[in-house]
Amino acid sequence: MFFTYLRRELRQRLRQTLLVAFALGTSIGLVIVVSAASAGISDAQKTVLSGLYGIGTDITVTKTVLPTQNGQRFDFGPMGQGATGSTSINTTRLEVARFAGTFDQAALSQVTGTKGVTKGAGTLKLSQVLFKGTIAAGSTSTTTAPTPSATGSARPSINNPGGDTSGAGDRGRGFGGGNFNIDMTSIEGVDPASLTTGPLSGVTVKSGRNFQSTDANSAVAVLDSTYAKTNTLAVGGKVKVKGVDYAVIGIVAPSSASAETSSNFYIPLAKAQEASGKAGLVTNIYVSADSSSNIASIQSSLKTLLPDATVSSQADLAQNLSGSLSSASSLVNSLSKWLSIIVLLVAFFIAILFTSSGVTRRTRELGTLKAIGWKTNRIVRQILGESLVTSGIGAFIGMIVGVVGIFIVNAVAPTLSASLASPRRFGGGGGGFTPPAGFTPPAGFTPPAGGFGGRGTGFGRAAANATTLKLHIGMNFSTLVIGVLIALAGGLIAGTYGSWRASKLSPAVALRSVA
Amino acid sequence: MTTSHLYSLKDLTKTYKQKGKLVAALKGVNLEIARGEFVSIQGPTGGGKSTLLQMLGGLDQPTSGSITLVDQPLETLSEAKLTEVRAKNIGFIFQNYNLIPTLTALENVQTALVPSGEGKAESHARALAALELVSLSDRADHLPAELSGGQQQRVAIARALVKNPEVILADEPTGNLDEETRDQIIELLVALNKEKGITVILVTHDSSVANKAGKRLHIAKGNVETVTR
Ligand SMILES: Nc1ncnc2c1ncn2[C@@H]1O[C@H](COP(=O)(O)OP(=O)(O)OP(=O)(O)O)[C@@H](O)[C@H]1O
Ligand SMILES: [Mg+2]
Repeated sequence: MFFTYLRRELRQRLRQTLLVAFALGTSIGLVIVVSAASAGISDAQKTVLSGLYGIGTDITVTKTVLPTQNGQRFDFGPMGQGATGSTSINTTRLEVARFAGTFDQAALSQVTGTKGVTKGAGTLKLSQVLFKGTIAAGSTSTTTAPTPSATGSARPSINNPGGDTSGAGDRGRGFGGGNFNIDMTSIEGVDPASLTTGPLSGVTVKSGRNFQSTDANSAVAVLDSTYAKTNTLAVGGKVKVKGVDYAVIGIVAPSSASAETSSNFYIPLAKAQEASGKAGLVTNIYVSADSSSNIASIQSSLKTLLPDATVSSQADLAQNLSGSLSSASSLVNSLSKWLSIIVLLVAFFIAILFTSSGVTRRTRELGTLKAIGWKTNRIVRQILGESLVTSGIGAFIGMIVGVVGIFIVNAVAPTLSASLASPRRFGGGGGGFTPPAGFTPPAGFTPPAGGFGGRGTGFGRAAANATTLKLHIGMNFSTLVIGVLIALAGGLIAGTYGSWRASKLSPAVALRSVA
Repeated sequence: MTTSHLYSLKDLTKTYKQKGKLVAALKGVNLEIARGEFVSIQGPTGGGKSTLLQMLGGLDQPTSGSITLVDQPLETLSEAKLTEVRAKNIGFIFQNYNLIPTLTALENVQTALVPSGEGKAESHARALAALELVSLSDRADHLPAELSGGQQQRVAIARALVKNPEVILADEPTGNLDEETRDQIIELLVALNKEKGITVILVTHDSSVANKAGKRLHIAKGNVETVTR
C-alpha cells in the first residue's frame, strides 16, 4: 500500500510533483554547473601553475634578496673603438635571476630530509643579459641633450623574447646616440637525475628528448617551445650560455596547450653552476609531498627550517595568478555562489510550501486514514516518502540540467588568460628595470634616470608567463553526488515539515462536514 | 455491567473551547448501547450528534465522564491505543464518503486492512469480497471521481465492513444522496446489521431513515433522550 499510495499520489498530482521537482532540479542543476565551473577554473589554475612549476610539485622554496649597493659589478668588458669613433659593446652577463637568493647543498638536503617530503629537486635560475651595440663617441652626459628624433633612434631596444615589450619608457637622457641591444634570456639549471619534480616534470617533449642522467655534465640544452619558436631554434641547433655553445637536444612545452614553462631554456644543473660560478648552489627547490593533506605541515616545517626562504604551496601561488582566469574564478566564487544559494533557498521554499499546502488540502483525507486506524508514523512515512521521491525526480532533472548546462558552458566557453604576478614584486607596476647596482656604464653612458620602464616585475618572468587557455569544465562524480544530496535534503526538509503538520492532525477532522 | 452492552456512557461531557468561549457540546450523557443494535441519532444542527459519534469512535477524548467499549474505558486510552481500537473495532462512514481520491475503489477498501498488516493477496481478496457485498466488484479499478455518490458511499461501506468491526458509525451517510440511493444504502446497512450482527449507529436528519432503527436517540443542546414510539 505504501508504494501504491505513493505512486498514485505523485501521478495523480503530477503538476504539483513536477513543479516541485523542476524547482529543485533547476536549482541543483545550477549548483552542479557552478561548482563544476569552479572546479574547472581551479583546474585551469593548476594547469597554468603546473606549466610554471611542474606537475609533481606541491611546494616551492625560494629566497628573495634585495639588490645590494655593492652587488656584482657589471663589466662591459673590452670595447672596441670604431672607425667612426663610436664604442662597440658585445658582452654577456650571466647571473642569478633577479632578486633570487641561493641555497647551498645543505639546505637542499635539509628540505629533502623533512618529514613528508618524498622528493626535492634544486634548480638554479639564471638570467643571461646580452648587451650588444655601439655607443657614439663623445656622447657624455655633459654634452648637449640630443634632439628627440636623435634620441628616438638611439633608444636602446630591448629584446625580451615572448615578453612584455612595453619596455623602454624613459629615454636615456644624456645618452648620445648609437644602436644598442639588450637581450635577456632566462636559463634554468636542472638536475637531469631528478626530473620528476620541478619545471620539467610533466612537460610534453615536442621534439628531440628530455634530459637523461648521462647529460649531467654535457653542454646540452632543452628549450621551451615558445622560446624556440620566437628564436627559430630547433633540435640540432645551438644556444649560447656565456659565449659557450650548447646543443639543443629537445623542445618542451607544458602539457597544457598554450602555457609556457618557467624559463626560456634548461641546461644541466652542474653546467649552470659552473657557468655562473655558483658551484653547489641552487635558487629554487621544488618539493613533492607524500600526501596533499601534509602540504600545510610540510610548509610550516620548511619555514622553520629555512627562516629567510619563501615557501609557497600551489594554493599560495594560485593567489598570485591574475588575468581573466582569476576574474572568472572570483566571479564563480562570489556571484555565482550567492546566486545558487538564493536559487536553492527559493527551491527549498517552493518544496516546503507545496508539501505543506498539500497537507492542508488533504486534511480530511489524512484525518480519515487516521480515523480508520492508520498510525501517525505511517502517515508521516507516506508524506516523507512522497517528498523524497519528488526530490529524487528533482535530482534526476538536476543532473540533466547540470550536464546540459556544462555542455553549454563548454560550447560557449570563453578563452581565459592568466599571468603570474610574481610574489617577488617590487614596487608594483612601473617598477621597471632599474639598472643593477654596480652597473658601470661605459664612458659617456649615463643610465636613464627613471630606468627602462618595464611593467610589473620588469623583464622576464612575469610578463613572459601570460598564458591563455580555453575553459573546459568537466562533470565530476562528487559534484553530481553533492547535487543529488542537496535535492534529497530539500525533499527531506519539505517532507519533514509536511509530515510534522500531518502528524498534528486530529482524526476527528474526518467528520468535519466542510469539503 | 453486563457484557451484552457494547457501549456504556456515564456522565459523558465534551466541552470545546472556541475563541476563548466554552461550548458544551455534550452535557452529561448516560447511555447504553447493546451489541447488534441499530441505533439512529437525530437532532437539530449543532446539537452534538457528530460530537457524540466522535466519542463513540474514539476520535477524540471526552472532557469528563466515561465511555466504555466492550470493556475498554476509552477515556483512559492513549492516542496509540485508541488508534488500535479504531483499526480493529470501528468502521466509519461519512457524509462526504471521504474516499482517498487518488486510490481506486479496491485500494480504498484495502486501506482499512493496512493497520492489521494483512498480506497482499489476502488483503486483495478480502477487499474484493467486501466490494462484492456492496455490488461494486465490477468497479474495483475505478477512482472515486469516476463513481456516482451512491457508489462512492458503497465503497465507503465496503471499507468500513472489510475488517469485520464491532460497530459501524455513520455520520449522515445519506445526506448527499437522492431518495432511491438513500434507500439502497440504508438497506445495505440494515442487512449488515441483521446478517452480520454488526452494531450500526447512524446520525441522520431524515426521519424515514431513523424509522428503520430499532433504537432512536434524539440529541439537542448536548442532552440525549431516547425516543419512544
Ligand atoms: N472542534 C470543535 N471546536 C469547537 N467547537 C466545536 C467543535 N466541534 C463541534 N463544536 C461545537 O459543538 C457543538 C456540537 O457540534 P456537532 O458537530 O456535534 O453538532 P451536530 O449535531 O453534528 O450538528 P450538524 O447537524 O450541523 O452536523 C456545536 O456548537 C459546535 O459548534
Ligand atoms: Mg454533525
